[in-house]
Amino acid sequence: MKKRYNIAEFFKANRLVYILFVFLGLYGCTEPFIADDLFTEDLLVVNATISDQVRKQEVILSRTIGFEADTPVFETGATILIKEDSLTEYTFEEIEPGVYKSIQDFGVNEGKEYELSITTQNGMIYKSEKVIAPGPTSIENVYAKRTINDEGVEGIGIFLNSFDPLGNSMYYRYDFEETYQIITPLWIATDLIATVQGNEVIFDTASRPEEEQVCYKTQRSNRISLVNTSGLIEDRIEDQMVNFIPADDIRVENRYSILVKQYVQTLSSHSFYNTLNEFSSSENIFSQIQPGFITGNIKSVNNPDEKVVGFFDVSSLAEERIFFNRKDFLEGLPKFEYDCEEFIPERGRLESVNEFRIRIATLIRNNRLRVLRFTPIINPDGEPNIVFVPRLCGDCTILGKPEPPDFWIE
Amino acid sequence: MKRIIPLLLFFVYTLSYSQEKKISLNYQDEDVANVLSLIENQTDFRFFYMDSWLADQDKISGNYQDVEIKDILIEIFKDTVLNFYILDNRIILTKNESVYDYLPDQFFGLQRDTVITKTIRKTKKKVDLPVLSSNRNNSLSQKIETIRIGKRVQNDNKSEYEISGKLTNKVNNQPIKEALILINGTNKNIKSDGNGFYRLTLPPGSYNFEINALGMERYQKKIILYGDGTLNATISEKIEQLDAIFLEKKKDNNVEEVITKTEINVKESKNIPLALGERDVLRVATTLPGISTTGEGGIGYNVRGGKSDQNLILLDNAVVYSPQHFFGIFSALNPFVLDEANIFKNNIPAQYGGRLSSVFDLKTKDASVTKFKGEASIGPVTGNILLETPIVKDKSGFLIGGRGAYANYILESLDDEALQNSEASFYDIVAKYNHKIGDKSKIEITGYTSRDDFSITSDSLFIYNNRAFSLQWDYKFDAKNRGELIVSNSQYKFNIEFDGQSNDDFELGYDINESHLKLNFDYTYSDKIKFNYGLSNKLYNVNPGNIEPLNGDSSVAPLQIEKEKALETAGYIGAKIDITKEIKVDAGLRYSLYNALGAGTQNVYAPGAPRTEASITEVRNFENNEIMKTYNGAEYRIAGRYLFTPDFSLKASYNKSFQFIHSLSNNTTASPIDTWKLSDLNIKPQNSHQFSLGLYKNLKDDMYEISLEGFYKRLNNIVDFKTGAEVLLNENIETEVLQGKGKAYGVELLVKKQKGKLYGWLGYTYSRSFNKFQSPFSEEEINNGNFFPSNFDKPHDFSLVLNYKFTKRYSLSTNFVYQTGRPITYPVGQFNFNGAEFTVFSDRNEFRIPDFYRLDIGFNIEGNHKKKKLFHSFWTVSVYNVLGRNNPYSVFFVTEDGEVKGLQSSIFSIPVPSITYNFRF
Repeated sequence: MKKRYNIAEFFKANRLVYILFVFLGLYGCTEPFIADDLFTEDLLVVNATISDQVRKQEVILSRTIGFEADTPVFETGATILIKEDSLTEYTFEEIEPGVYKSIQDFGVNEGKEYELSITTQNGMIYKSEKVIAPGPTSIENVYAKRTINDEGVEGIGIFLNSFDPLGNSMYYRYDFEETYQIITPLWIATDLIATVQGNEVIFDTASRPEEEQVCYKTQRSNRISLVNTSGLIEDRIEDQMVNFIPADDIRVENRYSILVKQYVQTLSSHSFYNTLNEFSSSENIFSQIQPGFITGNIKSVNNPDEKVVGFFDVSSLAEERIFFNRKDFLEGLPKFEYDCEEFIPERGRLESVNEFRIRIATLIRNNRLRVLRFTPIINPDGEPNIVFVPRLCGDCTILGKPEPPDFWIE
Repeated sequence: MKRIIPLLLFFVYTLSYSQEKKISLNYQDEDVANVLSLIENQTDFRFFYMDSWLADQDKISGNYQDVEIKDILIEIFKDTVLNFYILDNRIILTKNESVYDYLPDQFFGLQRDTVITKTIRKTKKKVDLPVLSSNRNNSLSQKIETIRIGKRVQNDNKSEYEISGKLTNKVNNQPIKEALILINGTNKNIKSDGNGFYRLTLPPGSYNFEINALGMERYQKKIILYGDGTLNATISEKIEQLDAIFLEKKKDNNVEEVITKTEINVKESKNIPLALGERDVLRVATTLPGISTTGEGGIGYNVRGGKSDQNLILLDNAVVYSPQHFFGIFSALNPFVLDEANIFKNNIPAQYGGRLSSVFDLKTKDASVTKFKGEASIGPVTGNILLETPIVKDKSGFLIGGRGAYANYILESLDDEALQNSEASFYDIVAKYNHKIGDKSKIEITGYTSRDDFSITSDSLFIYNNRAFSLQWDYKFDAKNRGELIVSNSQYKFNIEFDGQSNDDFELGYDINESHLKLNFDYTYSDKIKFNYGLSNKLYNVNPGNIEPLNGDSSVAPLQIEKEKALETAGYIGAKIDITKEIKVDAGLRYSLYNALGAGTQNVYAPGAPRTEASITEVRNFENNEIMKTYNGAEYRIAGRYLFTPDFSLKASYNKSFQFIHSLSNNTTASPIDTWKLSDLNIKPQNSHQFSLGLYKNLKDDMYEISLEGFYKRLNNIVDFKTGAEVLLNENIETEVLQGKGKAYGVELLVKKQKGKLYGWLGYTYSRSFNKFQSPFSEEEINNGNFFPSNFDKPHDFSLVLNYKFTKRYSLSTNFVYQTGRPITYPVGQFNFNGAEFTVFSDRNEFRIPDFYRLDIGFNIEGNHKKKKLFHSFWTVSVYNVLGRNNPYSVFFVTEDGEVKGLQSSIFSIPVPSITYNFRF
């Protein structure tokens, strides 16, 4: 049994640097390090988490890339197969580059053995170790509470309680999908439209679509959050903070919803995620955890020396969604501040009125700014007098979608 | 060396001469030496001094008419480190105290055992000789007391009798070490040992018996030897009268010693500029070849490519596990209390064992038995104090030294709420009681403790603590046999309290405790063969970790990792043998027996499978004190020296050692939460073989000391971990531990200039250190089982320490260090996983961080040297890292907002000035 304690907390770089600043009189420092002579290794990355929820399971294949590279490189054209107890086979199809989904819906069954095999386009075969599916899991409850985080910021914390009376779960991973409502602060009912006919610009008014006033944005967590209860008397997770949102974040401006996913992992899969986490969290200044290549449970069949990144993770999954409004918790705290500085274009000294009108028309069509106020422009040769604001202030579709998601409840 | 001015007298002042004799002199831009010969030419004063003392003095000018010689000399030597003393018509020059400090030990070599010199008369006939006290003419014998030694026994035909005794300083009752005993004015190389004892044998007869000790008055007696007997002497100090010994050929300890030890001059350490004005004896050691740290803020020392857990650090014979404060920035040893610091890194004498790389043998000074004394220093973040007091006058004394950091006040006075709740403090205390019982025995009791507290987040508190206690009883059985009984106990522990928001508040503890009993004997078989032998027994008790819930709300399950116990026993014998005048051998054999003891359980793993919890085939249970596993083996410590000329030698040694306890750390550098693990059924002891060869040469009357040493070392069963291993509170730690091989080799050059206004040293080391972890199972391998550079492999290591004394009161010191950057594991790519970017790392230690260099400058201002002054004080003003070099201590990569960022941290990135005030009374 292994239990990981929060010891790394004590040596977190940021705090320690402060202490050093005081203790040694501002002598220490942490600054960006520019490594120029790094080389890149091109390795296969396997991200495969399958769970007991019956659905189309997903496997993502990609390649490691250099630090300069911005776009991910996916491994396309591979054949993926998952075997259950060496009897049942589930085949996958590539639905978009690098993303493979099972052709049929399935979920893993407790106690059964699963094996992932991948054959890439160039004929290399990779196989995972056989993994036994853990028992099912459930979430007791998820709740939101006004709280102050470690950095002293006030906001809202999303907490979770969970309990496994059998004590079999122990290794938990959390991940979530959050959705928030955006209400445009400076939405106006009447919009200004500019149509260019030949060299002429015709301004007209129209009603602005209602959808641009209220939108919904959904995003996934981008952290690995792990908890284990192996050192506790009970397999119980109490008041575990899954997410924290500062009071002045746009996400908690109106209504917010979060779908918390609890995965129960195997020990080796938990260790893999934990090591991954340790190597990428802020380091202790004085003693650095010895980094190295993190060996997963997938190996190349053709070339045993080839390194493969990633893990075939067979988990149980439980999900719970909650909703809340800002006024339920955060009354009186600073709100998200929209940057709605007004922008009023003026005609340049050498600019003709028509040129100016064309410029305004371009601004409107570029859709980076939105009209807030304007004087009615009757005279086709008249100088328009228009006040713009950034688009988000008048149109939320820049951030989200106007239709509420299926699960949304007002 | 010896300078005796030929008698070239042009004028003969025949009758009375006296110090009041007035002379006239005139010289312009002359060397001091020339001026002195000018005086010699004019008068019949004779100067006695060493040429090298005058070599660095500035040229002088002067014009005197009918002036007393004394006044001229005061003028000549006023800005120098030299003093003079007029004795009849002899004028003896001496160097002042601060320069003296390093002389005594080196002056006569480091041999601590009394040498017996036989002066057998050529007539081998054993005749019942009447002992005659001949009235030999001796110009100095007028007031010399005559002492009769021994009882004359009829028909006793022994050709030689033994005289032994103890030399004591009249003023402070301390033993006089290294005093030279002259018989009939000749040097037979008989010296007192470290406890002031001497012994010699002579045929019966009458002799002039003289004792010469540095800084002591000359002791002269006429003895008539009838039989074996004792002659104890109490000698006064103060008047720095120079005797013939000073003109004696100096022993070249570095050249002559068989086992080369690195000696740190504790008093000189104050002249080396260090961070925040803190004197640090061990930091001085790191400027010498072969000894390094992983960097600023790195805990521990790496000696000749060995891990930092391979050093046996002894304070008065008790082990100190982590003698550093605040992540290695400060030493945890009070510099005022230390008297001697010797480091063995080449060949370790057989009486020490249990560590592979080195022994740091630190000794505290004896408390004054005559008067109350004190010494203190005040620096920017720490204060140091030492107090000494006699308990029984002339017999016993007590000293207590303390040091503390006062950074907490600074933290508390801050506005930042988070920092107000932070804490960072440390202290260390050392106390010693020394008691002399008669002439034959002495007892010393030392206690030491150090503690560091810090809390970085408001919900955590971290404490680590060293404790050591030792009792040493020295006893002299007879002239040939001496013994020591040493009892010691040491402990290292740390404790972490975490009081956060959720239900996992805990308190975590670790501690290691060792008790040591050692019997050490010296036997002098003859002046050519000396033995050292003894027995050592060490009992270890380790609490490898326990965790407890901190309060009622916490649902942390209390967990206690099984305690460990082991007994390390060793017997040893070593001999120093003078085979010929040129060849000397120091050979030792140590036999170690290690027993891992119950109560406990040990896992048996399936052979031929990787060690995991799944491959446990059997769990064996052991009763309390039942032997779980035994390891034993012989350790060889062999060193030899060949003297080409008196100041040039070649030395070779072979050293084999075992180490039964291992520090476990999953960090690249040592940290205070590293734990020590005892060898057991699954974790084997480490061992090492070291071969070394060196050339030693002294030049220009020992003004320069040069040494060139090479070494090659092989290590077995060194400890490392699987990537990402969890060390603390792991019940099956052996499933994470890897044991492998290591090799290290290097060449070390040291050039020292010991005298003159400008003195210091230059050290350069080229060395490499590699590890290898090979296994049939890929998860138990590092870098595919190939040799790779260790975390402290720094090929080039250069240090230059230079001090310049302008006058007695002002001196400048500089320290320059250059090192190759240490190896590091870099990320070689990134990948996206669950929405975040992560890094892929290269092979272990494939790259290096940038090179390290730093220049420090310090300036010392001494208070004036009036003898009657109540307080002696000095100021140290220093600037650390004058060049403002931003030396990266570590380079690391973090994932922030889904992006990989490289960061480097450094501890001192700008010049750090500091000022320290020291005083003593």
